[in-house]
Amino acid sequence: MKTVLQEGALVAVIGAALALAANALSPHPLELTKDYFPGDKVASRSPAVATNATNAAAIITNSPLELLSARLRANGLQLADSNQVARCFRDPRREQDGVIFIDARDEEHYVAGHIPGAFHFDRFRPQDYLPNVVQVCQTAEQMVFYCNGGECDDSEHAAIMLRDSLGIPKEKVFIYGGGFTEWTSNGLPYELGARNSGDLTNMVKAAASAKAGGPK
Amino acid sequence: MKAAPSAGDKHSLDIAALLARWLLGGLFLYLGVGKVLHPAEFAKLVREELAIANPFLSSLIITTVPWLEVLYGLVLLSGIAKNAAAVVARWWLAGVFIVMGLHKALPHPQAFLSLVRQYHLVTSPILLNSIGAALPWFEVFCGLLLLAGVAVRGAALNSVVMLVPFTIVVLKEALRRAAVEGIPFCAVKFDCGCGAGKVFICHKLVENTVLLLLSAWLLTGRGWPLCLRFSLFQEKKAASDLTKPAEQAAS
Repeated sequence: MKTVLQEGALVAVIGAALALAANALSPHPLELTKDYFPGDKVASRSPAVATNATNAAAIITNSPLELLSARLRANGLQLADSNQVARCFRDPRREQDGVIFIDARDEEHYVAGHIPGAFHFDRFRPQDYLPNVVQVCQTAEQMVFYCNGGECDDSEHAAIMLRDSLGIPKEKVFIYGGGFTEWTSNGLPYELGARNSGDLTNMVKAAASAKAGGPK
Repeated sequence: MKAAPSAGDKHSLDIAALLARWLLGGLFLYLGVGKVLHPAEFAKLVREELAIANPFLSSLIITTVPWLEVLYGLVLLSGIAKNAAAVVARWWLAGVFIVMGLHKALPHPQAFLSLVRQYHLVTSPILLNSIGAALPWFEVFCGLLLLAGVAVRGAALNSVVMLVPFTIVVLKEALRRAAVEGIPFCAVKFDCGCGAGKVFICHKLVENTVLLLLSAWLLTGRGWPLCLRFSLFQEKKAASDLTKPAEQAAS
């Protein structure tokens, strides 16, 4: 028994050391000292979540949307629903990057389909994506962050990261709670590959949705 | 000096080993038959969640693995070729750890980090990042040890130490989701960070029970044939001498 415990401890020590070394050598290592979830601290320490009457009601109802809204408010963010997001998409200012969409998912998901014209910002690899978004974030009047929707919170953390590091006023920042899943299920168009590739999908569904009075 | 185990103790151990083997056999049968009856779900898991793109390899896995599980379950239940069955158990456990570990570690360890975070195990970013960074590669390391047959009981002990708390936190999270969403426990489906994407919780618990039993089985000294160095602190021969009587007793 003692031998097994000794062997187990030895395996644990050597394994942990080799595992950390393997992480350091992997193509996309995790940085041990980095805070990948900056929104957590604010949400957990904010007494406003518990004391605010609206937020308390949200907690009582347990509605995922209301809980999300309360959490976003605690982090100084605004929730945008599908109608608001569709309006932003049709806003003429989008052509001049006055209204922008930022996709906070990873490269694989972005290439497989994103809201047409959306900028890509993978918060886990900011060094690769910051140069593409810094300037446009500083000049845009409205920015809508999204990820997959549902339980995905990458859009929130990406928004907090950019807002705090670039000093963007919080009034400009919106989170699309339904995310890309809701966008496609509403039959709205999406773009494949790189930004502005012009390779659009779902155009037929989008036209049908518009005729039937879909998201305004 | 240790006292020799009494006849009563030996009898109890024999019964426990027999029950454990039957339980494992039954669970393997359940898992294999489940895949045979629902081939589309297993095909989706292989092609989409495990991302095995090669059509030949994915088809081979989809068609053979369920029947191999059924066959292995029958072998365990019948009690034939127990040494060979223990070696297969060691390799099977090794394969699961290597595949699942690599799936978590590459190409996006950040996705695994997000999944670990959902359990709220730690609040410190450094601790959370350390778990997210080390755990997948540690699984791969234990898998390689089991595959090669090096420090088998040490690796099996670490496997148990990883599986028990992980199964408990997955169970707690599933209970929470069932309560919040108002759905039956077995209808809860989520990505538990196991490396296989979204899974039904009951199925996951059965899988974890199988992995735990296999680890415990190896921990008792089974699976010694075809090992490079079964124990780090004993010669292979001594280890096999030590475990052979146990094998015979369990038969």
